[in-house]
Amino acid sequence: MADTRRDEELLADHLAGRSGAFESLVARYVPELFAFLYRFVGDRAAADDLVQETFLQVHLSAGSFDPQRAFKPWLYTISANKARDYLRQRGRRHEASLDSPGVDGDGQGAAAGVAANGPDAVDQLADGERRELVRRLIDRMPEHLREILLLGYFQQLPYADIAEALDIPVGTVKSRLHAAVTHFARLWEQRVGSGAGES
Amino acid sequence: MSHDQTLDGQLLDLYLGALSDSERAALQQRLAADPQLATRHAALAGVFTALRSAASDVPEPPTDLIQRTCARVAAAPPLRVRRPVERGEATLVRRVFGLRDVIATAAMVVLIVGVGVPSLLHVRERGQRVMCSAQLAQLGQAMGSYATAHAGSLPFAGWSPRASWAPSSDPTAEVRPNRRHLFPVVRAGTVSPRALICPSTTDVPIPAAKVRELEDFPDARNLSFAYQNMAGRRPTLNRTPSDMPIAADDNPIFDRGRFLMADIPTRLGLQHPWAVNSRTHAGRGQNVLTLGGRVIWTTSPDVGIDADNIWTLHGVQGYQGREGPGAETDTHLLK
Repeated sequence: MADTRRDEELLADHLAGRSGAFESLVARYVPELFAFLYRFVGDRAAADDLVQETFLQVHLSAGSFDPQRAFKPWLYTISANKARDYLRQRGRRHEASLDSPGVDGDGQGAAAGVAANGPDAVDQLADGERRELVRRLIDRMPEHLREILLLGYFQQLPYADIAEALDIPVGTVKSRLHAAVTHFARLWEQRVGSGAGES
Repeated sequence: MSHDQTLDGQLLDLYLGALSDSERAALQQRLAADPQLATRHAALAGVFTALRSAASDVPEPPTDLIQRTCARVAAAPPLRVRRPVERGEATLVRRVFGLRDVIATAAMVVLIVGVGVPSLLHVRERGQRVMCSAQLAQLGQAMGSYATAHAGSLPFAGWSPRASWAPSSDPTAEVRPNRRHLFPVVRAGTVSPRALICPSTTDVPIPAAKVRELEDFPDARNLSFAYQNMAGRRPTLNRTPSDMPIAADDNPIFDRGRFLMADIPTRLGLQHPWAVNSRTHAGRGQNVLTLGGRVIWTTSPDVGIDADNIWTLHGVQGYQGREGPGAETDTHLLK
């Protein structure tokens, strides 16, 4: 049966040395954290390792957790930090600038073919091609925009939780999230033609 | 949507699920009345349709990721609890240490090393014990699945009168370690080889890719748990009491099937050789799985039916490898 204790209670129980509490936290968050990290770093093995690193850090820092705060944003803070560190160590950086989406040669193949075919081309994309194209475009977004798009859209975190996780005001969350969607929309439009998003 | 247009914030909030019911209703009214806004809405719908298509584009996490994560945490240093810093605590006070101070400091160091280090090790061991318990429970679930599919019988890989579960000097004996009976649940994929390795041990799992090629655990170190001796009367899920122990941390008085009774009292200074706990958790006790699927931590091996000792058979003094339980409630756990 699923553990009904709140996240914060589980962490407090773990701190108090009660067995099983941390295991419940891990079981509760591994699936969504794996999805977040996989999208963030784009590598299954790395996401696997980063999930473990995240919970290891949660364990090591549990004593410094403020019990008045929510656990989930804190978990995402740690997780996002681990992902950023990983990307920096790997030297992965091929972000496209906001002014020149799609100029770095990535996303050729399906996307390039579709772009040449006009407004209806987006409908001709097979599901797999569409998913692959979206993944590549998100992967090419600047890190701070990709991060907030993952948290806000794919992980569906409330604005307040994102604000806490990234340590920015809620107003900044909204404006950055809007910038992220705008950026993606422009990349998408660039790839699949004006039919994808033209008004 | 052209490049110099900004996206309408409310439309984005609509797609991000950030609008209240009343805000959503108001926006719907605006959309109905404002063709330009409706056009932008349609444009944005295309973008979110694309994003939605990638929402499921994530592989499932590996099935053993939770287990590996817990094991990694259990093996980590113990928790650090931050102590609030008092105002002025960091002020440097210059002073000269006298002999009394040195002695006091030395006493503190001895105290910390003597009390602190063992307690830290104990915390780590406790974490490993919890992980071990969870893994034994997984094995219990796999055994339950097997029993359900085999009319209540526990995992069993066959037995013959010529067989021996211990290394034998008899050249005609067919050596079949008792651990072999657990292999069917690994073959069936209902438990991973890694789940059969207690984190307190140095045992190593069989590579998952090799499971299909094998009929048995190639080495005793591929399994951390002792299982009910299947060479005699065997318990069944339907008839035997559910609190009968059927698996546990490894038996301390057998080593790979070889009986160690002669060594045990001498090595451990025990008056009663059967009183010894499994060595898996530093001799403090053992995790025990019952037929009903419950895992309990016991500090004595006399936890079978009617306080039966789980390491030995009733009325048997010496073991050659062919002995089995005379009753289905006689627990005798070994690898």
